[in-house]
Amino acid sequence: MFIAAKNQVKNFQKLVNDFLFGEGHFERLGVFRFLLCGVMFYIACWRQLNVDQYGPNSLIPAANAFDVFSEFYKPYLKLFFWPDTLASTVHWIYIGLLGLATVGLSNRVLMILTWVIAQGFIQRNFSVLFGADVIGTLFLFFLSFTRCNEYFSLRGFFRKKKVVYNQNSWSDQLSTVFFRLLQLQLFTIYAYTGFEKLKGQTWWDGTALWTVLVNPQFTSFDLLFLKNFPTFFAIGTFVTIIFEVYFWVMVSIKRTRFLWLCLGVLFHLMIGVLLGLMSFSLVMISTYVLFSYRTNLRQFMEKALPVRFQKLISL
Amino acid sequence: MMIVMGNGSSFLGRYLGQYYFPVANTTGVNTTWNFFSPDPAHIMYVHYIVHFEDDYGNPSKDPKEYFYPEQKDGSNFAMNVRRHNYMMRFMIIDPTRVAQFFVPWVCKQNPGSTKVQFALILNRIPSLDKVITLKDTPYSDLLTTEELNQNVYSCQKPS
Repeated sequence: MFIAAKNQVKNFQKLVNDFLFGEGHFERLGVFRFLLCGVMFYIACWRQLNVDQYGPNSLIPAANAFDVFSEFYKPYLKLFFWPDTLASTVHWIYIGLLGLATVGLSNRVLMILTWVIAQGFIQRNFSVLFGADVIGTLFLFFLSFTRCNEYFSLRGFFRKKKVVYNQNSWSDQLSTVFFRLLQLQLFTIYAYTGFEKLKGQTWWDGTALWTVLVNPQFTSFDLLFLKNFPTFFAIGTFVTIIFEVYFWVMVSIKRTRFLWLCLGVLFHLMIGVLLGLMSFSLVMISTYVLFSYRTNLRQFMEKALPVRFQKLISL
Repeated sequence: MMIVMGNGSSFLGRYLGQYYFPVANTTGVNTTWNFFSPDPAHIMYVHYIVHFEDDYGNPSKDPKEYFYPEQKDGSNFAMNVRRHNYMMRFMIIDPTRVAQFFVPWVCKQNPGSTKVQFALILNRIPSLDKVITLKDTPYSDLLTTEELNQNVYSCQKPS
Protein backbone atom coordinates (compact mmCIF):
# COMPACT_ATOMS: atom_id res chain seq x y z
CA MET A 1 0.00 0.00 0.00
CA PHE A 2 2.89 2.31 0.87
CA ILE A 3 4.48 1.58 -2.51
CA ALA A 4 1.18 2.23 -4.32
CA ALA A 5 0.81 5.58 -2.55
CA LYS A 6 4.43 6.44 -3.33
CA ASN A 7 3.84 5.62 -7.01
CA GLN A 8 0.76 7.80 -7.06
CA VAL A 9 2.69 10.72 -5.61
CA LYS A 10 5.40 10.14 -8.23
CA ASN A 11 2.81 10.05 -11.02
CA PHE A 12 1.26 13.25 -9.74
CA GLN A 13 4.69 14.90 -9.60
CA LYS A 14 5.35 13.85 -13.18
CA LEU A 15 1.97 15.20 -14.24
CA VAL A 16 2.67 18.58 -12.64
CA ASN A 17 6.18 18.59 -14.06
CA ASP A 18 4.91 17.84 -17.57
CA PHE A 19 2.18 20.45 -17.22
CA LEU A 20 4.57 23.17 -16.16
CA PHE A 21 7.76 22.25 -17.99
CA GLY A 22 6.77 19.63 -20.58
CA GLU A 23 7.25 21.76 -23.69
CA GLY A 24 8.43 25.19 -24.80
CA HIS A 25 5.13 26.55 -26.22
CA PHE A 26 7.16 28.67 -28.68
CA GLU A 27 4.47 28.58 -31.36
CA ARG A 28 1.59 29.66 -29.14
CA LEU A 29 3.63 32.33 -27.40
CA GLY A 30 4.96 33.67 -30.70
CA VAL A 31 1.57 34.06 -32.34
CA PHE A 32 0.06 35.44 -29.14
CA ARG A 33 2.88 38.00 -28.88
CA PHE A 34 2.25 39.11 -32.47
CA LEU A 35 -1.50 39.51 -31.93
CA LEU A 36 -1.40 41.10 -28.48
CA CYS A 37 1.42 43.53 -29.17
CA GLY A 38 -0.08 44.33 -32.59
CA VAL A 39 -3.40 45.32 -31.03
CA MET A 40 -1.66 47.24 -28.25
CA PHE A 41 0.42 49.03 -30.89
CA TYR A 42 -2.81 50.06 -32.67
CA ILE A 43 -4.39 51.24 -29.40
CA ALA A 44 -1.24 53.15 -28.47
CA CYS A 45 -1.17 54.93 -31.85
CA TRP A 46 -4.70 56.20 -31.18
CA ARG A 47 -3.79 57.07 -27.60
CA GLN A 48 -1.08 59.39 -28.86
CA LEU A 49 -4.00 61.70 -29.73
CA ASN A 50 -4.91 61.77 -26.03
CA VAL A 51 -1.39 62.30 -24.79
CA ASP A 52 -2.38 65.71 -23.35
CA GLN A 53 -4.14 63.72 -20.64
CA TYR A 54 -0.72 62.53 -19.46
CA GLY A 55 0.92 65.94 -19.60
CA PRO A 56 0.91 69.11 -17.48
CA ASN A 57 -2.66 69.95 -18.59
CA SER A 58 -4.08 66.58 -17.67
CA LEU A 59 -7.33 66.29 -15.75
CA ILE A 60 -5.39 64.56 -12.99
CA PRO A 61 -2.16 66.33 -11.99
CA ALA A 62 0.89 64.06 -11.68
CA ALA A 63 1.21 64.86 -7.96
CA ASN A 64 -2.33 63.54 -7.37
CA ALA A 65 -2.18 60.55 -9.72
CA PHE A 66 -2.46 58.05 -6.86
CA ASP A 67 -5.30 59.96 -5.16
CA VAL A 68 -7.83 58.33 -7.48
CA PHE A 69 -6.98 54.91 -6.07
CA SER A 70 -8.49 53.81 -2.78
CA GLU A 71 -5.94 52.61 -0.21
CA PHE A 72 -6.81 49.06 -1.15
CA TYR A 73 -5.80 49.43 -4.81
CA LYS A 74 -3.04 52.03 -4.46
CA PRO A 75 0.17 51.01 -6.28
CA TYR A 76 3.23 50.71 -4.04
CA LEU A 77 5.67 51.73 -6.72
CA LYS A 78 5.40 54.74 -8.99
CA LEU A 79 6.19 53.51 -12.49
CA PHE A 80 5.81 56.78 -14.41
CA PHE A 81 9.40 57.82 -14.01
CA TRP A 82 9.23 60.59 -16.63
CA PRO A 83 8.19 64.23 -16.08
CA ASP A 84 4.85 65.29 -17.58
CA THR A 85 6.59 67.44 -20.16
CA LEU A 86 8.14 64.30 -21.67
CA ALA A 87 4.90 62.30 -21.78
CA SER A 88 4.56 62.58 -25.54
CA THR A 89 8.16 61.52 -26.18
CA VAL A 90 7.91 58.56 -23.80
CA HIS A 91 4.66 57.55 -25.45
CA TRP A 92 6.34 57.55 -28.86
CA ILE A 93 9.13 55.37 -27.42
CA TYR A 94 6.44 53.05 -26.04
CA ILE A 95 4.85 52.79 -29.49
CA GLY A 96 8.26 51.98 -30.96
CA LEU A 97 8.90 49.29 -28.35
CA LEU A 98 5.50 47.75 -29.04
CA GLY A 99 6.32 47.76 -32.75
CA LEU A 100 9.56 45.89 -32.08
CA ALA A 101 7.74 43.39 -29.86
CA THR A 102 5.08 42.82 -32.52
CA VAL A 103 7.65 41.74 -35.11
CA GLY A 104 9.64 39.74 -32.57
CA LEU A 105 12.67 42.00 -32.35
CA SER A 106 12.34 42.52 -28.63
CA ASN A 107 13.71 40.56 -25.70
CA ARG A 108 12.87 40.06 -22.03
CA VAL A 109 14.55 43.24 -20.83
CA LEU A 110 12.99 45.37 -23.56
CA MET A 111 9.58 43.80 -23.01
CA ILE A 112 9.73 44.45 -19.28
CA LEU A 113 10.65 48.06 -20.07
CA THR A 114 7.67 48.19 -22.47
CA TRP A 115 5.45 46.90 -19.68
CA VAL A 116 6.84 49.39 -17.13
CA ILE A 117 5.99 52.27 -19.49
CA ALA A 118 2.54 50.81 -20.24
CA GLN A 119 1.78 50.37 -16.54
CA GLY A 120 3.27 53.82 -15.87
CA PHE A 121 0.75 55.40 -18.23
CA ILE A 122 -2.04 53.46 -16.52
CA GLN A 123 -0.93 54.78 -13.13
CA ARG A 124 -0.41 58.32 -14.40
CA ASN A 125 -4.04 58.81 -15.41
CA PHE A 126 -6.27 55.96 -14.32
CA SER A 127 -9.42 57.75 -15.45
CA VAL A 128 -8.72 57.66 -19.17
CA LEU A 129 -8.44 53.90 -19.53
CA PHE A 130 -10.14 51.30 -21.67
CA GLY A 131 -10.56 47.72 -20.47
CA ALA A 132 -8.22 46.77 -23.31
CA ASP A 133 -5.44 48.91 -21.78
CA VAL A 134 -5.71 47.18 -18.41
CA ILE A 135 -6.05 43.62 -19.70
CA GLY A 136 -3.51 44.05 -22.50
CA THR A 137 -0.91 45.49 -20.10
CA LEU A 138 -1.45 42.71 -17.60
CA PHE A 139 -0.94 40.08 -20.31
CA LEU A 140 2.12 41.96 -21.52
CA PHE A 141 3.56 41.65 -18.02
CA PHE A 142 3.28 37.86 -18.04
CA LEU A 143 4.40 37.64 -21.65
CA SER A 144 7.57 39.60 -20.87
CA PHE A 145 8.98 36.68 -18.90
CA THR A 146 8.45 34.12 -21.67
CA ARG A 147 10.48 33.20 -24.72
CA CYS A 148 7.80 34.64 -26.97
CA ASN A 149 10.15 36.18 -29.52
CA GLU A 150 11.38 32.92 -31.06
CA TYR A 151 8.46 31.95 -33.29
CA PHE A 152 6.70 34.11 -35.91
CA SER A 153 9.48 36.61 -35.58
CA LEU A 154 11.86 38.54 -37.83
CA ARG A 155 14.63 36.88 -35.84
CA GLY A 156 14.02 33.86 -38.07
CA PHE A 157 15.71 35.67 -40.99
CA PHE A 158 19.08 36.07 -39.27
CA ARG A 159 19.08 33.29 -36.73
CA LYS A 160 22.09 30.97 -36.93
CA LYS A 161 21.36 28.52 -34.10
CA LYS A 162 18.33 26.29 -33.94
CA VAL A 163 15.84 27.15 -31.19
CA VAL A 164 15.58 24.31 -28.71
CA TYR A 165 13.70 23.86 -25.51
CA ASN A 166 15.82 22.80 -22.56
CA GLN A 167 13.76 21.58 -19.65
CA ASN A 168 16.67 22.12 -17.27
CA SER A 169 17.39 25.73 -18.16
CA TRP A 170 15.96 28.32 -15.76
CA SER A 171 15.16 30.60 -18.67
CA ASP A 172 12.97 27.98 -20.33
CA GLN A 173 11.39 26.99 -17.02
CA LEU A 174 10.49 30.62 -16.34
CA SER A 175 8.99 30.88 -19.80
CA THR A 176 6.75 27.83 -19.46
CA VAL A 177 5.58 28.79 -15.96
CA PHE A 178 4.56 32.23 -17.20
CA PHE A 179 2.81 30.60 -20.15
CA ARG A 180 0.63 28.72 -17.64
CA LEU A 181 0.11 31.92 -15.62
CA LEU A 182 -1.18 33.61 -18.78
CA GLN A 183 -3.76 30.85 -19.17
CA LEU A 184 -4.70 31.01 -15.51
CA GLN A 185 -5.07 34.80 -15.64
CA LEU A 186 -7.49 34.53 -18.55
CA PHE A 187 -9.57 31.93 -16.68
CA THR A 188 -9.66 34.21 -13.65
CA ILE A 189 -10.72 37.25 -15.64
CA TYR A 190 -13.58 35.43 -17.33
CA ALA A 191 -14.84 33.80 -14.13
CA TYR A 192 -14.83 37.01 -12.10
CA THR A 193 -16.40 38.98 -14.95
CA GLY A 194 -19.28 36.50 -14.86
CA PHE A 195 -19.51 36.55 -11.05
CA GLU A 196 -19.57 40.36 -10.98
CA LYS A 197 -22.48 40.35 -13.44
CA LEU A 198 -24.43 38.06 -11.15
CA LYS A 199 -24.45 40.87 -8.57
CA GLY A 200 -26.45 43.05 -10.96
CA GLN A 201 -30.23 43.05 -10.92
CA THR A 202 -30.56 43.43 -14.71
CA TRP A 203 -28.18 40.55 -15.44
CA TRP A 204 -30.11 38.33 -13.05
CA ASP A 205 -33.36 39.58 -14.57
CA GLY A 206 -32.21 38.83 -18.13
CA THR A 207 -32.51 42.38 -19.47
CA ALA A 208 -28.97 43.73 -19.10
CA LEU A 209 -28.25 43.42 -22.83
CA TRP A 210 -31.23 45.66 -23.55
CA THR A 211 -29.69 48.50 -21.51
CA VAL A 212 -26.37 47.98 -23.28
CA LEU A 213 -27.63 47.67 -26.84
CA VAL A 214 -29.97 50.68 -26.86
CA ASN A 215 -27.55 53.01 -25.08
CA PRO A 216 -26.16 55.31 -27.80
CA GLN A 217 -23.05 55.84 -25.67
CA PHE A 218 -22.28 52.14 -26.08
CA THR A 219 -23.44 51.31 -29.59
CA SER A 220 -23.30 53.13 -32.90
CA PHE A 221 -26.21 51.12 -34.36
CA ASP A 222 -29.89 51.78 -33.91
CA LEU A 223 -30.97 48.49 -32.38
CA LEU A 224 -34.32 49.64 -31.01
CA PHE A 225 -36.12 47.32 -33.44
CA LEU A 226 -34.87 44.43 -31.28
CA LYS A 227 -37.60 45.29 -28.76
CA ASN A 228 -39.81 43.18 -31.01
CA PHE A 229 -37.65 40.15 -30.16
CA PRO A 230 -37.45 40.33 -26.35
CA THR A 231 -36.32 36.73 -25.98
CA PHE A 232 -33.11 37.73 -27.78
CA PHE A 233 -32.14 39.86 -24.77
CA ALA A 234 -33.08 37.22 -22.20
CA ILE A 235 -31.18 34.43 -23.97
CA GLY A 236 -28.25 36.70 -24.83
CA THR A 237 -27.95 37.90 -21.23
CA PHE A 238 -27.90 34.41 -19.75
CA VAL A 239 -25.61 33.00 -22.46
CA THR A 240 -23.13 35.79 -21.69
CA ILE A 241 -23.03 34.86 -18.00
CA ILE A 242 -22.84 31.13 -18.65
CA PHE A 243 -20.08 31.63 -21.23
CA GLU A 244 -17.97 33.71 -18.82
CA VAL A 245 -18.51 31.78 -15.60
CA TYR A 246 -17.86 28.38 -17.20
CA PHE A 247 -15.08 29.45 -19.58
CA TRP A 248 -12.31 27.92 -17.46
CA VAL A 249 -14.16 24.61 -17.13
CA MET A 250 -15.15 24.23 -20.76
CA VAL A 251 -11.76 25.25 -22.13
CA SER A 252 -9.95 22.92 -19.72
CA ILE A 253 -11.95 19.99 -21.06
CA LYS A 254 -10.43 18.99 -24.39
CA ARG A 255 -13.75 17.88 -25.90
CA THR A 256 -15.50 21.22 -25.31
CA ARG A 257 -12.52 23.51 -25.82
CA PHE A 258 -13.01 24.12 -29.55
CA LEU A 259 -16.73 24.82 -29.15
CA TRP A 260 -16.16 27.29 -26.31
CA LEU A 261 -13.36 29.10 -28.12
CA CYS A 262 -15.54 29.41 -31.25
CA LEU A 263 -18.34 30.77 -29.06
CA GLY A 264 -15.83 33.19 -27.58
CA VAL A 265 -14.70 34.45 -30.98
CA LEU A 266 -18.33 34.99 -31.99
CA PHE A 267 -19.14 36.64 -28.65
CA HIS A 268 -16.22 39.05 -28.82
CA LEU A 269 -16.72 39.86 -32.50
CA MET A 270 -20.32 40.78 -31.68
CA ILE A 271 -19.11 43.02 -28.86
CA GLY A 272 -16.49 44.48 -31.19
CA VAL A 273 -18.92 45.33 -33.99
CA LEU A 274 -22.05 46.28 -32.03
CA LEU A 275 -20.38 48.13 -29.18
CA GLY A 276 -17.46 49.53 -31.15
CA LEU A 277 -14.99 47.83 -28.82
CA MET A 278 -12.97 46.01 -31.46
CA SER A 279 -9.63 46.63 -29.76
CA PHE A 280 -10.88 45.04 -26.53
CA SER A 281 -12.36 42.15 -28.48
CA LEU A 282 -9.13 41.54 -30.36
CA VAL A 283 -7.12 41.51 -27.12
CA MET A 284 -9.46 38.85 -25.74
CA ILE A 285 -9.54 36.79 -28.94
CA SER A 286 -5.73 36.88 -29.19
CA THR A 287 -5.50 35.00 -25.89
CA TYR A 288 -7.32 32.02 -27.41
CA VAL A 289 -4.12 31.11 -29.25
CA LEU A 290 -2.77 30.05 -25.86
CA PHE A 291 -5.23 27.16 -25.90
CA SER A 292 -4.62 25.98 -29.47
CA TYR A 293 -2.87 22.71 -30.21
CA ARG A 294 0.77 23.16 -31.08
CA THR A 295 0.69 20.96 -34.18
CA ASN A 296 -2.54 22.49 -35.48
CA LEU A 297 -1.15 25.99 -35.02
CA ARG A 298 2.08 25.04 -36.80
CA GLN A 299 0.22 23.54 -39.75
CA PHE A 300 -2.05 26.56 -39.96
CA MET A 301 0.87 29.00 -39.95
CA GLU A 302 2.78 26.98 -42.55
CA LYS A 303 -0.23 27.05 -44.86
CA ALA A 304 -1.15 30.68 -44.15
CA LEU A 305 2.28 32.19 -44.81
CA PRO A 306 3.74 32.47 -48.34
CA VAL A 307 6.95 30.52 -48.99
CA ARG A 308 9.20 33.57 -48.76
CA PHE A 309 7.96 34.23 -45.22
CA GLN A 310 8.38 30.68 -43.95
CA LYS A 311 11.60 31.73 -42.21
CA LEU A 312 9.47 33.73 -39.80
CA ILE A 313 8.18 30.50 -38.34
CA SER A 314 11.33 28.42 -38.49
CA LEU A 315 12.73 27.43 -35.13
CA MET B 1 -2.51 35.54 -5.91
CA MET B 2 -4.28 36.23 -9.20
CA ILE B 3 -7.21 34.00 -8.25
CA VAL B 4 -7.78 35.65 -4.88
CA MET B 5 -7.17 39.21 -6.08
CA GLY B 6 -10.02 39.03 -8.59
CA ASN B 7 -12.13 39.45 -5.46
CA GLY B 8 -9.52 41.21 -3.40
CA SER B 9 -11.94 42.86 -1.01
CA SER B 10 -13.20 39.47 0.19
CA PHE B 11 -12.00 38.07 3.52
CA LEU B 12 -9.44 35.85 1.80
CA GLY B 13 -8.26 38.74 -0.33
CA ARG B 14 -7.81 40.99 2.70
CA TYR B 15 -6.22 38.26 4.79
CA LEU B 16 -3.77 36.91 2.24
CA GLY B 17 -3.36 40.20 0.43
CA GLN B 18 -1.06 41.63 3.07
CA TYR B 19 1.65 39.31 1.77
CA TYR B 20 1.44 40.33 -1.85
CA PHE B 21 -0.35 43.70 -2.07
CA PRO B 22 2.88 45.46 -3.08
CA VAL B 23 3.28 43.18 -6.10
CA ALA B 24 -0.43 42.81 -6.92
CA ASN B 25 -1.16 46.55 -6.79
CA THR B 26 1.88 47.52 -8.78
CA THR B 27 1.42 44.93 -11.52
CA GLY B 28 -2.32 45.53 -11.83
CA VAL B 29 -3.36 42.06 -10.68
CA ASN B 30 -5.40 43.59 -7.85
CA THR B 31 -8.23 44.66 -10.14
CA THR B 32 -11.93 43.97 -10.14
CA TRP B 33 -13.00 42.48 -13.43
CA ASN B 34 -16.35 44.17 -13.88
CA PHE B 35 -17.37 44.92 -17.44
CA PHE B 36 -20.93 46.25 -17.78
CA SER B 37 -21.47 45.12 -14.21
CA PRO B 38 -23.00 44.97 -11.71
CA ASP B 39 -25.49 46.70 -14.06
CA PRO B 40 -24.87 48.43 -17.40
CA ALA B 41 -24.82 52.21 -17.13
CA HIS B 42 -27.50 54.50 -18.53
CA ILE B 43 -26.89 57.48 -20.83
CA MET B 44 -25.04 60.15 -18.89
CA TYR B 45 -22.99 63.24 -19.45
CA VAL B 46 -21.91 66.35 -17.60
CA HIS B 47 -23.45 69.75 -18.16
CA TYR B 48 -21.46 72.64 -16.77
CA ILE B 49 -21.52 76.42 -16.99
CA VAL B 50 -18.41 78.47 -16.36
CA HIS B 51 -18.99 81.87 -14.75
CA PHE B 52 -16.70 84.88 -14.82
CA GLU B 53 -17.15 87.44 -12.05
CA ASP B 54 -15.28 90.48 -10.80
CA ASP B 55 -14.21 91.03 -7.19
CA TYR B 56 -17.73 92.20 -6.28
CA GLY B 57 -19.47 89.15 -7.68
CA ASN B 58 -20.77 90.91 -10.78
CA PRO B 59 -20.49 89.09 -14.12
CA SER B 60 -17.42 90.30 -15.97
CA LYS B 61 -17.98 88.17 -19.03
CA ASP B 62 -20.79 86.06 -20.49
CA PRO B 63 -20.93 82.60 -18.92
CA LYS B 64 -19.86 79.69 -21.12
CA GLU B 65 -21.90 76.51 -21.35
CA TYR B 66 -20.27 73.12 -22.02
CA PHE B 67 -21.04 69.44 -22.12
CA TYR B 68 -18.59 66.72 -21.21
CA PRO B 69 -18.08 64.71 -23.33
CA GLU B 70 -18.79 67.26 -26.05
CA GLN B 71 -20.99 64.80 -27.95
CA LYS B 72 -23.48 64.30 -25.16
CA ASP B 73 -24.79 60.97 -26.37
CA GLY B 74 -21.32 59.76 -27.36
CA SER B 75 -22.17 59.45 -31.05
CA ASN B 76 -18.48 59.74 -32.05
CA PHE B 77 -16.86 56.35 -31.57
CA ALA B 78 -13.29 57.29 -32.47
CA MET B 79 -11.02 55.84 -29.82
CA ASN B 80 -9.51 59.17 -28.82
CA VAL B 81 -12.98 60.72 -28.37
CA ARG B 82 -14.33 57.71 -26.53
CA ARG B 83 -11.65 57.98 -23.87
CA HIS B 84 -13.35 61.20 -22.70
CA ASN B 85 -16.55 59.23 -22.23
CA TYR B 86 -14.69 56.82 -19.96
CA MET B 87 -13.07 59.73 -18.13
CA MET B 88 -16.47 61.31 -17.49
CA ARG B 89 -17.83 58.07 -16.02
CA PHE B 90 -14.77 57.67 -13.83
CA MET B 91 -15.21 61.20 -12.49
CA ILE B 92 -18.89 61.04 -11.72
CA ILE B 93 -18.76 57.69 -9.89
CA ASP B 94 -17.29 59.55 -6.94
CA PRO B 95 -18.53 63.17 -6.44
CA THR B 96 -15.35 64.08 -4.53
CA ARG B 97 -13.42 63.53 -7.77
CA VAL B 98 -15.52 66.28 -9.40
CA ALA B 99 -14.39 68.81 -6.81
CA GLN B 100 -10.82 67.55 -6.63
CA PHE B 101 -10.05 67.04 -10.32
CA PHE B 102 -12.77 68.08 -12.75
CA VAL B 103 -13.47 71.60 -11.44
CA PRO B 104 -9.80 72.69 -11.15
CA TRP B 105 -9.24 71.35 -14.67
CA VAL B 106 -12.18 73.33 -16.05
CA CYS B 107 -11.03 76.47 -14.21
CA LYS B 108 -7.53 76.07 -15.62
CA GLN B 109 -8.93 75.75 -19.14
CA ASN B 110 -10.97 78.94 -18.68
CA PRO B 111 -8.61 81.63 -17.39
CA GLY B 112 -10.44 84.25 -15.33
CA SER B 113 -13.30 81.91 -14.41
CA THR B 114 -14.61 82.17 -10.87
CA LYS B 115 -17.34 79.55 -10.58
CA VAL B 116 -18.39 76.29 -12.22
CA GLN B 117 -22.04 75.28 -12.14
CA PHE B 118 -22.10 71.50 -12.40
CA ALA B 119 -24.82 68.92 -13.09
CA LEU B 120 -24.79 65.30 -14.11
CA ILE B 121 -27.47 64.56 -16.70
CA LEU B 122 -28.82 61.04 -16.55
CA ASN B 123 -31.08 59.81 -19.33
CA ARG B 124 -32.56 56.70 -17.83
CA ILE B 125 -33.21 53.98 -20.39
CA PRO B 126 -36.73 52.54 -19.90
CA SER B 127 -36.94 48.90 -18.90
CA LEU B 128 -37.65 46.33 -21.60
CA ASP B 129 -40.96 45.52 -19.88
CA LYS B 130 -42.05 49.15 -20.09
CA VAL B 131 -41.10 49.46 -23.76
CA ILE B 132 -43.03 46.31 -24.65
CA THR B 133 -46.09 47.29 -22.58
CA LEU B 134 -46.21 50.85 -23.92
CA LYS B 135 -45.34 49.89 -27.48
CA ASP B 136 -47.46 52.69 -28.99
CA THR B 137 -45.64 55.39 -27.04
CA PRO B 138 -42.63 56.84 -28.87
CA TYR B 139 -39.38 55.57 -27.34
CA SER B 140 -38.08 59.11 -26.79
CA ASP B 141 -41.07 59.80 -24.51
CA LEU B 142 -40.15 56.83 -22.34
CA LEU B 143 -36.64 58.10 -21.67
CA THR B 144 -36.57 60.04 -18.41
CA THR B 145 -34.05 62.78 -17.77
CA GLU B 146 -32.70 63.59 -14.32
CA GLU B 147 -30.23 66.23 -13.19
CA LEU B 148 -28.07 64.87 -10.40
CA ASN B 149 -25.25 66.15 -8.19
CA GLN B 150 -26.08 69.78 -8.95
CA ASN B 151 -23.56 72.03 -7.34
CA VAL B 152 -21.72 75.30 -7.80
CA TYR B 153 -17.98 75.13 -7.22
CA SER B 154 -15.63 78.06 -6.81
CA CYS B 155 -12.42 78.29 -8.77
CA GLN B 156 -9.26 78.82 -6.80
CA LYS B 157 -7.47 82.02 -7.78
CA PRO B 158 -4.05 81.29 -9.22
CA SER B 159 -1.43 82.16 -6.63
